[in-house]
Amino acid sequence: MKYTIYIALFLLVACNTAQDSMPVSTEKEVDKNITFEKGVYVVNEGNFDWGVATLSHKRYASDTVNNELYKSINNFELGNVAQSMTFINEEAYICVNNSSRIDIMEEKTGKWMDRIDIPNSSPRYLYQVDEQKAYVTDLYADKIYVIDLKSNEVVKNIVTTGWTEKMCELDDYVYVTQTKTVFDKRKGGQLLLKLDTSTDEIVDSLALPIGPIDLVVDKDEMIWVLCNGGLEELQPALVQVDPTSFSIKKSFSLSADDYLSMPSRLRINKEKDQLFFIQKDVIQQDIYADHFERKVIVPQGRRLFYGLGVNPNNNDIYVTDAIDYVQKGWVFQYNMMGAKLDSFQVGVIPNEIVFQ
Amino acid sequence: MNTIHEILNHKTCILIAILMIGFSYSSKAQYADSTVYLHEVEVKAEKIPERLSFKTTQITKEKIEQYLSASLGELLTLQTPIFIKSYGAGGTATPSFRGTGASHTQVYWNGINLNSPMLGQVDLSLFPVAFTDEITINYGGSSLLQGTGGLGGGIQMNSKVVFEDHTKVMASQTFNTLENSITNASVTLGNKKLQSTTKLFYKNAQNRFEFENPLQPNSPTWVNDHSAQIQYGAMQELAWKVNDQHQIQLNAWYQKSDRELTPSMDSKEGDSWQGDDSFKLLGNWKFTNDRLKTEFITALLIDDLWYKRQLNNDENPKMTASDSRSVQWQNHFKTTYQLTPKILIRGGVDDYYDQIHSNAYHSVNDTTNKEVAQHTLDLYAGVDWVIFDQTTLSFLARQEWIDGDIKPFLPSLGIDTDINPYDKVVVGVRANVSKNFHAPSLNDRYWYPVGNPDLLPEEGWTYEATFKLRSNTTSNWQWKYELTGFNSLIDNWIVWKPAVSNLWRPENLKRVHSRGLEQIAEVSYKKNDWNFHLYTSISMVHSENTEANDELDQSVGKQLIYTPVGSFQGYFQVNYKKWYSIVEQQIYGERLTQTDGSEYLPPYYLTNLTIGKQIKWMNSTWDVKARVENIFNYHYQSIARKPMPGRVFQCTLTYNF
Repeated sequence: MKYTIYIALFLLVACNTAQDSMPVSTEKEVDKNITFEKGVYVVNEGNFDWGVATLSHKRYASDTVNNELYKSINNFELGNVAQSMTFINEEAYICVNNSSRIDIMEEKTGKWMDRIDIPNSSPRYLYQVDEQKAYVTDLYADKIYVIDLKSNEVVKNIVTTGWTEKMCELDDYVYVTQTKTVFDKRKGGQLLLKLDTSTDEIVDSLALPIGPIDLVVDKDEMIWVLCNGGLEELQPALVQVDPTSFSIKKSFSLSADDYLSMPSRLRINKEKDQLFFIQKDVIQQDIYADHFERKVIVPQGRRLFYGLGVNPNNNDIYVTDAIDYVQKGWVFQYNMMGAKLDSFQVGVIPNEIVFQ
Repeated sequence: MNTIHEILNHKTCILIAILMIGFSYSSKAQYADSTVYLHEVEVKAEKIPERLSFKTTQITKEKIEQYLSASLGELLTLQTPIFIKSYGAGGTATPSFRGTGASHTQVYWNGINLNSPMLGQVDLSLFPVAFTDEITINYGGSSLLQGTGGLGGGIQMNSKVVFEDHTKVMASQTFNTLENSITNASVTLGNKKLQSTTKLFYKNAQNRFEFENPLQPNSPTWVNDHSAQIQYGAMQELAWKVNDQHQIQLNAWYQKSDRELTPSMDSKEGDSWQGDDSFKLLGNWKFTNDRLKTEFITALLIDDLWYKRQLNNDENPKMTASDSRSVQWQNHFKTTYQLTPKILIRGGVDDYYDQIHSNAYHSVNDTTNKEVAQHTLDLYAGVDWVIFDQTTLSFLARQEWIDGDIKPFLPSLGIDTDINPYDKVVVGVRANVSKNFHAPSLNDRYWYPVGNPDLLPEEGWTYEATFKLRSNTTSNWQWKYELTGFNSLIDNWIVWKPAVSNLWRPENLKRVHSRGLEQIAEVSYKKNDWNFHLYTSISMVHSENTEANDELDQSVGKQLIYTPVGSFQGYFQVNYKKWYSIVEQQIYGERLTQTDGSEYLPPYYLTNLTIGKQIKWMNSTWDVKARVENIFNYHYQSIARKPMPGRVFQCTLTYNF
């Protein structure tokens, strides 16, 4: 009997490996032969510092949701605070903000391909400029990284003066929102930057209301910028910029009682004539309207909306709820009329919705 | 409702006033009969006695001396059922007592509260064990004698002064394979009137170790090289026995700690640092006669805390810089009076004035010097009554005001009896009920811009019952067994929850139901030169959220995160002449890392082995000790994805004169 206990104890500790110390998920393993196509990816950022980012995928024509697919396929985790995913030639570039890297995986198989490590960086969004080159914005560094897509290396930095976030391209110019984090005490810097893609230089900048945080391009090739209004100033705005004259064409003030009313996530429909963003509720705005009328398309109710996407295939609206941010969140799918079509559970803090 | 509140408040004041007046009147009376039946009063004549009928345990000076190089967190994790959550080697260590949160354990040093008024909690890794002479653990409502807020319980670190002619010198040096060096020294000198003790502590810890990283492709081996800590401190204790009745003490404690914060296994480079400087000055006057014990403590506490994080890779990197200074002035008046041989009454006043200067309480663009102040006044009164031989009853009531606002009235009542006190096996039972509350911390109320000044205090009732057995013979075998069940329901549980992207704010969100069983069994055997001691503690705690704001919230009914249901601590010590050996075992069950239970950390088992010998040479004693921690090199994590060390070899040399 005595020896049995010793043997049991020995086996218990002798068979323990580093993998056995890792957090265990109750999520079922994803079939490694499955292909992830004709559907929607959800990037779940996970908890800052101790949590893990995960990827979920759901085909449009199926009720099955494949959660934590990255770990199932690759046997290691995605990293800490995944911010965005960009498809380039059947590869997905995932900016993992707090892990200071961009991981590259095959879009359809979920297999890890390569990694771009940028020490002490906080990569946010990647934009492909051409076959050879992409730009990556950063939360805290005063720079935009120029990535060589062949070698997957940073080849150049473009100096900025704050937190660069979203990008779009018109006529060989990439436009980038720039604002300031709460840790940045410098004045000004609420800008839309104009980058010449042939020289990788900032050629112009346009002063915007406080907190330019997201942008889209409409059917008339006008740039819409959502400004969150700042934590203290509380002056959120929706601004239309004419890229030709590089000037503000329209500016709508979005009222804010307190910091809880800060807007986020600017999206546009397939026809590129209807704008959507979160300001507690999901709000819709026509690009031709000459004033802002708060049209609620999806009311918040008791939820806390975090991520937003509009499917470019059929205009369905996807909005995420992170519940208490320490458990798996949900995605709700609505049609353009605001009627609920579907809901499904994904990972912890569902952030970005990426449509195939 | 207002009327009921008014009546209750009115009654509260009257009740406390009656008890206080009763005490004042009684204290003037003279009694010839000095027989005292409350044995605990006799044993610790110089101290205000703990309450009867409530659960307390002690870690003695002898035990503390075995762990001179440890932090308070490391000692508690070995000797008590308190679960210590460690943010990596050398990192912050916070307690979870009976399934409650870190701010629900109150820590006291010689009667003053050490919980940060900003955070509401303490970092147990910052208190060197060598700076305390004895530790008392107050379970649940037992902590109400010291103050409010200990929904889980309280921890007291106390100094012990012995007035005798002597000079004692102690020096101790520890090295381990984490490249850590810990030095302790103390000098005690004095006579029957005056005593002085000086203690010094220096720790240079690299906390460096290799670990396999399954989070990265191909599980590479990484080095944990961003957990270094330099910590040093000095403590001076002066005690003057004016006469048989009056005693005055003065304690000063300065301590400084600078450390790197362990990054997650996702990141190779660490980017965060933290500094904690503190200065504590404490004056204590005690008056003791046959019946009356009075103690007045006044203390000034200054704590500086800074945290910085490198945010980027610019040539001159941006840093977050959080700086705060808290200045506290605490005054405590405590007294007991032996009203009759069987009745002890007690009363007291606790007064706190907190002043905070923090750049986290206002906008970065606001350069005006803002400070936040808070005044807390707390009155208590109670009675300990020996109803029958070996049957005691204890009642205490507390009332607190914060900035003039009356807080919940906190009554507590307990009964303790030994059924057959003169038999060879003594059977006893103890039961108590208490109400407690925990006020929101100043960060909860004022953190810019999310602080919520309208937060309600967390409050709830705790019910507790204990079944006790102990041997009562003079045989070589001695043993003790205690089984305690407790049940606690806490309303308005404060949770920091994201309000909008990247901004979290505190809210009264949850109702937490915590209940469990604690079992302590001890056996010792002595014969000739041999001495054996076995200690085991098993806890089963179920602590769950019972309310949800969102109908999709699946945290309802799930164990709170980072709180194990089952845990075990135990040690087996053998002494033979001057040789000693200790085997320690800790087992912790699964701990959820997500509130819906969708991810958990697996159980872990840690075994430590110590072998040592005391050598007498001239008038001094040398103690040579070798210790192996985590002898089976068990892979485990305390916080998800924070690396923890495997097997660690350590040696300690201690000199005592």
